[in-house]
Amino acid sequence: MTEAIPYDRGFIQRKKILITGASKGIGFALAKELDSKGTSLLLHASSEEGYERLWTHFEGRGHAFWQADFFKPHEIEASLQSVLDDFGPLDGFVNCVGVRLRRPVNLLNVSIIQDTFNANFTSYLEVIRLITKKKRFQSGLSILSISSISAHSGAAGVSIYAATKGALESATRCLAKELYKKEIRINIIVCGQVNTEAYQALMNSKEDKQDAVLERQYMGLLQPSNLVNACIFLLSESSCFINGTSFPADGGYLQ
Amino acid sequence: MTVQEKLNLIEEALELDVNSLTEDKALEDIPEYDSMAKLTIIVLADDEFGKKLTGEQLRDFKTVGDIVAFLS
Amino acid sequence: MLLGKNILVFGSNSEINLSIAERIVSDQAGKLFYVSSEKVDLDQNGAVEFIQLNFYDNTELDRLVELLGNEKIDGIVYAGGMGGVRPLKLNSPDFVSQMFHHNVFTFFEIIRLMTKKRLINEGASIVALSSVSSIKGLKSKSVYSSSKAALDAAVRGMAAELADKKIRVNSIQKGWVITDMNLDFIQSNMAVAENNDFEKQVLGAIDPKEIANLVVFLLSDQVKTLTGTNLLLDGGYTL
Repeated sequence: MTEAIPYDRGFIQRKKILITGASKGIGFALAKELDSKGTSLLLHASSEEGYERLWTHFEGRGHAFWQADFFKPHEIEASLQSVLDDFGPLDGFVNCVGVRLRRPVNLLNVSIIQDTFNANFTSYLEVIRLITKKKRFQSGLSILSISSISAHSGAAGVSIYAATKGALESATRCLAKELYKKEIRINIIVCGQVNTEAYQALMNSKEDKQDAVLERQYMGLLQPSNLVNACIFLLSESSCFINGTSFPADGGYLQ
Repeated sequence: MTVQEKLNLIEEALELDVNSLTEDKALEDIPEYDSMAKLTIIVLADDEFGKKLTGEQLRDFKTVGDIVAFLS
Repeated sequence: MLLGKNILVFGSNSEINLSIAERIVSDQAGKLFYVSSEKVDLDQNGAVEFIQLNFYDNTELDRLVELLGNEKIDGIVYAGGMGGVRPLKLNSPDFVSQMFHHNVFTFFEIIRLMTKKRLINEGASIVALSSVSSIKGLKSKSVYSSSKAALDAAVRGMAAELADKKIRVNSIQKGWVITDMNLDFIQSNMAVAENNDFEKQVLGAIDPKEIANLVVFLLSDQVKTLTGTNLLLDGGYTL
């Protein structure tokens, strides 16, 4: 599917990379690509079905698996510790968990908001706290997560989702300054509308099948492979001086 | 909490090896004792002991033992 | 600028919030409701209606509707929230929850409640107090900063959503304010910082009155098409 990035050939295969939210969407596409490059993966899914899917797809390829419900950040520490004991120090971590909540303000309540933040933000921070402890990472660890153009543009019905992404971007800037002394980098990809299964389902449910976002995202719908390449670049040493950034992969939307 | 337990707590906060600190160790001889580490001690004092440690107090600390003595 | 407008302010009795209230009164607003869990000492000849209420508590917040007594609102200022520094290694989900509950979730809950009960007039203006930390990374402030970034992003979403009612939503990303210097967590942060962060604010610390001026401007009808923005008031900090 994606073309190998020439300057990276052979590099990523020696690495140990954790992908959270690997059972679908961008996470799954990234897992498939890194698997084909020979990377050693720790694949996470939040749900039972997700875990099954990962298992079916990647069983016997030397990867490790981890199931943890990101709606429950308090439970992450216990399960991640033992998984990391077996897997060894990480070279990369990509967080692809992202609950897409669509709900107008007057239908929100604090428990929905809290849940969405737990899944999209708090659990990510908790994983970072755990993997940046001594002996849990190799120097040069690259951490990555996925934000969205909605954090920048403001659309009706997605204010909570957008708020979780805004929070991720801000934390990225702070943590870059906090972690650089440990030779850890952290960046975030601001992605435009991507052609995932979830997107297809959403479009099929719409009567007019029109997506207004694409009027501004003039390069068209992003393919998961485009994002996968951006992820691999930011994971690799090719991007060693890029830190704390919100890296756009938006098909021109924000400019 | 015993002195040894407090030392271990400080080691964990500064990400030093277990049992690498003694009370007479001078803070200026610990390269890991930087601004982030100081802030970590402030938050730790509040979390674990419910004590407010001010910047001035922190500046007066000379040895690891001074931190241990404050954490009570 | 606020002649006859009913304004609702949420926040502690900090000097910034008191300045905002004083400025609103001096602008001859209609009624000013000051919602705070702390006692507010503000004698403005009865112009301020003080509502003592822990608005961070959702069940208490429900009482607000009756306390307002069917009075409709033209302006809301969310000046609530908390600060706090915490290095990543000492972070916990509970700390994140607490910070976001104060700085973001409560704001959502207030706006939800007010819109659902139709207590906000058409053409109203909502202002949230954010921080320059939202867009600038600082060590040990990742949770605080991200809560403010979440607030700023929420403002854009709400602005899009409430536009059909001509309700405007904006936030102010403020830099260091003179009175911040007395805050505990800032004192400790300053004491350990290797370089003085205040000096980056080339025009010096901000007077609470200036924040009040900008809040009132945003609440007023002076610029009716200003919405969904995060206004930077930072004394040049981000230069």
